[in-house]
Amino acid sequence: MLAYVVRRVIAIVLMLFAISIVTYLLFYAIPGDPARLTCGKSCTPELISQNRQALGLDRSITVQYGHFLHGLVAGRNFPDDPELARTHPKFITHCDAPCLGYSPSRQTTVNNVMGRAAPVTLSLTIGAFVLWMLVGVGLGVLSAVRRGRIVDKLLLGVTLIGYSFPTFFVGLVLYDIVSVKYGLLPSPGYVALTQDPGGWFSGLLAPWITLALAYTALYVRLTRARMLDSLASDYVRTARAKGLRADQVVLKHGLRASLPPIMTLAGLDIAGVLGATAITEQVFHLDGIGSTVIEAVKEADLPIIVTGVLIAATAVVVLNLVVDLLYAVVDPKVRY
Amino acid sequence: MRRLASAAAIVAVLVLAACTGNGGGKAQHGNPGGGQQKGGTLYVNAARAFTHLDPQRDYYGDIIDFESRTIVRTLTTFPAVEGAASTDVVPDVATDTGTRSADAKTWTFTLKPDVKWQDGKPVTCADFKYGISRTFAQDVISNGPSYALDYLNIPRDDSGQAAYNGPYKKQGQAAFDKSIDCPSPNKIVFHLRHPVADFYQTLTMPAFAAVRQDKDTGPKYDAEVFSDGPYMIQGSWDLRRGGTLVRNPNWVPSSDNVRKAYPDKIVTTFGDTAETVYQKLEADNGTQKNTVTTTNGPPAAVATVLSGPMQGRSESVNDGFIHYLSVNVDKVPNKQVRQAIAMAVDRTAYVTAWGGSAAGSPANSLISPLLKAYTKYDPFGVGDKGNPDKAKAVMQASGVHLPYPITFEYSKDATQDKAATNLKAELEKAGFKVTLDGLNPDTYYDVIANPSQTSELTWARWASDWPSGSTVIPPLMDGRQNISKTTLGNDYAAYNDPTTNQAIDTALSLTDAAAQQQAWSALDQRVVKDGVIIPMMASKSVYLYGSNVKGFLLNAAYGGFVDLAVVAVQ
Repeated sequence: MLAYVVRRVIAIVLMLFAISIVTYLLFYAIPGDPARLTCGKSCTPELISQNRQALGLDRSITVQYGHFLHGLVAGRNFPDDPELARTHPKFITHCDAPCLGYSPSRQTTVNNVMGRAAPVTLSLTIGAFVLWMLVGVGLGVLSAVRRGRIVDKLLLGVTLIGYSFPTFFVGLVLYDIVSVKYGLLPSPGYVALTQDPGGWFSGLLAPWITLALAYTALYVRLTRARMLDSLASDYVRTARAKGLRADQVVLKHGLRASLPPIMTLAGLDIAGVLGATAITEQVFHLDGIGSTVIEAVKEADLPIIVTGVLIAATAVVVLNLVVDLLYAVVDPKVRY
Repeated sequence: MRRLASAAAIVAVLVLAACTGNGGGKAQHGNPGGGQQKGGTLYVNAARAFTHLDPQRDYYGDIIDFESRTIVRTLTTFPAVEGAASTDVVPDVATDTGTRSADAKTWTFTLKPDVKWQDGKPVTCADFKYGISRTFAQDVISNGPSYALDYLNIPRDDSGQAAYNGPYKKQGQAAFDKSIDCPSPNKIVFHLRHPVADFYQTLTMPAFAAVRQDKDTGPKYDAEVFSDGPYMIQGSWDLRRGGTLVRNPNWVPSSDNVRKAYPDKIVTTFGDTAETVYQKLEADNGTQKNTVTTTNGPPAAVATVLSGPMQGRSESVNDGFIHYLSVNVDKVPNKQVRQAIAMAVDRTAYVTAWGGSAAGSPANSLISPLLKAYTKYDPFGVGDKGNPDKAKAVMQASGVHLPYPITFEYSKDATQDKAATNLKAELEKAGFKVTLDGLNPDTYYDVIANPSQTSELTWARWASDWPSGSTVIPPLMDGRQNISKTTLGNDYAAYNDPTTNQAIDTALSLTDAAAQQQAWSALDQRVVKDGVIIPMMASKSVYLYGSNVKGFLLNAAYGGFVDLAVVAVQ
């Protein structure tokens, strides 16, 4: 087991390196000159080349990538100008290891930018996850138990609709109409959980609903299908025959047997969502990782783009590993 | 100057042609002293974040206006009044608008005694000198206007640039020290490289504002501007999300004849889309009652806010921008062909495509009607509607093969598509074969400035940095400062005419301001008559504000943005 984990972690690190290299290469393949963006309207070729030098963009991709790696282990100074550091030390922004770089457009370290964005995206993702798991699995169970009745049919219809609406549409409706125009939901926005738990909850309610809606619909259907399978199985019949209470039969025997495949999918979905909150963040003007990266792409802000890609990739590969390990926990037949 | 910054800002003002486009706004607004009281919190909600708050790095009208009225004072400034009168520069930190030498190369200003920094220390000549010197540190203080580099009398290096690299590295510091002289703490003398008859207007830009050396944090100053205005930053400023301004206890009201500073507090928020900014303002709930915006009304909002119940809290303004077409003289060397294009275009149809009279009015010159250099003229006698038949006759007489193929490049959106389609029809009637090429708005100006990518006909817009032809004709039409191997700069027509260049030098050297403005007008007419520039529209912007806002005023001199000097919420 331990050897397996070590092997996987090494593979993950190598893969993240590869992803960062590809991101660097792609960035230099697309048009747009970051040095031009730092130069005002009265720009001259001399100023552009001066700014390119100040940003370190005059050096080759390999050297720049080397600086990036060096910063990860040893930290960096921005601007990397020994003369300025000597004469005006307070102008220099030091970025501790693991330094992810410096964003020219935001004029701060990527660590700061992402440090501020990560809690937003995590709150959004985890809240939405809890919401869709509770509501999705709960309604799925209800639907299975009430199979063929009006509740079941209603749920199947509603989930189809919920599943069909794109996130940006649901988000805009909740934001513009429900929250802004009629004030039916609290005004969306992000407040730190530690600062104001009530504000955190009410501000994220609409974004959670937006993000969770499609997944809820999916999990209702998934849970229902798994539950119908297990409720039809022999051991459930045995449990019923033993005279076990109906709720215990459904939850302890029916639902429990249905959970492993749901958990597996949930692990993958939460990773996917973590990398795909951008639309929801944009609609609700939340400064999460997704909207930060989108703005960075517009501004040719490479350090943020690379970090954003790495975060999304890390989430996917790490949660994949967790899911694989959970298999071994829930299913004794699996051995690593 | 000012291109509008992002694609989001370059949104067309798409309005019903029937809307009331009452040029300069309504008389009951913008009347300082009309019952405004001190107190309360004013909210400023903008779609686009203020890219730089550092005065030496700030180059957009909305930010220049915002900070000039709150935390940054300049030697001279624009008065808080409506219409073209706002371009009549008044003293701010200085006691008057300066004394100049006969050759307009030496300018002397006396500072008022009671202008104070937020810590109570007086603002001195040394602070202005230090602030202006920061512009030269282009590696750290990027993005700002570079007029100081050109104007101040500092020896040039081999590449023709000023031989001074700013107060941090101090190469050439002695030369810079000679260009701005501080004979006493309250006296400042500028020594310029060539005559600048409108230098007192140049000094309205925050790029020429004071910065205290001990408070300068270089690249970090953007979030930590140390104030000498009526407000100061509370805590720190977030470049993306804004911040809160509170009163500067050391600001002396009697030292300031422009800023009334009515609200106790100003809170800015950025990041909503323009549509959301207007939806919130329309709903007028809670803090929205006390809200103004620096984002002009998006097409959907403009139609509703200028009439009906919101009429009383909306206003439109001539924002100083001129939309124009450039005809590339390398690709269309025949003057008659260029003139034929100018004769064929229908400006009224163009204005209609952009939303009618609320969006702007037909323009005949590159210089805005707001400026003293403006002259109304009709070089080809075809009026605003144009005359494709006359154009066709000129084409036939010119001896070129018809149909004459041209490509029209424009920044693509629904409005511009409509205007471009009209243009294509008009030009094809006159004997052209037009290919339309709508380009990505985000990179539009870079593409049309690229000599290998630009086409025969391109669209652009421009507004002056300060109300003078000096910030229109030279930056757009002087080929020497614009054109290099890799770029056309702002000169999308690739126009580099020795006679024009010489006339620009002559105009710049004029010491009589009125004569200089006449010279700019003459040059304007020259490039228009040559068919190099085809002016299309003088644009307007529309704004909505909360129901509790009093003394709302749009200042044309800053590009028609809300003037916080006189806005109150009580």
